[in-house]
Amino acid sequence: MTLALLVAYIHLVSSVLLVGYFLFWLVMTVGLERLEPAAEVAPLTAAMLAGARWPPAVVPWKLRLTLPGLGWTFLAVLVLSGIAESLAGARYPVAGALGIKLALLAALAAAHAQLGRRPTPGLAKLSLGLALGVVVLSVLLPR
Amino acid sequence: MTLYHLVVALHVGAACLWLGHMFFWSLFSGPALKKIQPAETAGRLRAVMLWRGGLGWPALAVLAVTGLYQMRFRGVTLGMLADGTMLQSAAGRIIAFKLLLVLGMIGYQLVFGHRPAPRAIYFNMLAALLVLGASVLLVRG
Repeated sequence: MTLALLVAYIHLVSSVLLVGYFLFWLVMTVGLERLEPAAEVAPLTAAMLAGARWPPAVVPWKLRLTLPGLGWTFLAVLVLSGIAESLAGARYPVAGALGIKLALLAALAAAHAQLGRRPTPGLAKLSLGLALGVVVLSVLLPR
Repeated sequence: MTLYHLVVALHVGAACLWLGHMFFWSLFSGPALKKIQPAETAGRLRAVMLWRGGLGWPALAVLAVTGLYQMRFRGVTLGMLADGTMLQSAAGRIIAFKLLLVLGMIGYQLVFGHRPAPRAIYFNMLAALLVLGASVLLVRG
């Protein structure tokens, strides 16, 4: 496997993980909104944001990633592998599709920053839509 | 965007939703949610997530239809797999390997579905990683 193929593989796997991450937020926020009594929603959201850490063992608690931290990690791997792809040989003309993809990615980062602080179903839907939009636009890039 | 682009976008989107959900739930959010204290809060959060039914079968249906279209677009038919002509080229062997893995994943979906499968899920995830690898080889190799 050449370096270019390995980088493309990492890029694809990180895209899959990122979509899974935003799908998780959608499922979780919609599920929380349906919860009765509504007074439970805020403490459960706070418990999830602060208490769900990864990896769940081995690493000291303070060094474990929160859920938003995981999202930032996936985004960072996606961006770095995307940059590496362009350096490793995939020469895309800076045309419409790439420009829109990068704009959607910036919007996704902004939505994620807000989602990590105050998750709502609307924001989760927007984030998942943006993530899928980035994936769809990747298909249009020349191979 | 051509019809081919639309089909590829649907294929990649369905794969990202299905595999992303499986990977993220099994490797990240599931184990992390289990560790939330007190345990009742962790249980409550896990219960909250179960309102949504499985994504597996709808995603598989989209993947099968769009995958068959792409094979036909590349001049490959299932008949070529049956008579062995597909295996004469490197790309054909990669497609055959990918189809074999997908069959294994469909088998997993049939047998386990959404039931807990602490060991089998890792084989399923390995198969998914290999499917993604085969896809990269097909497109970029």
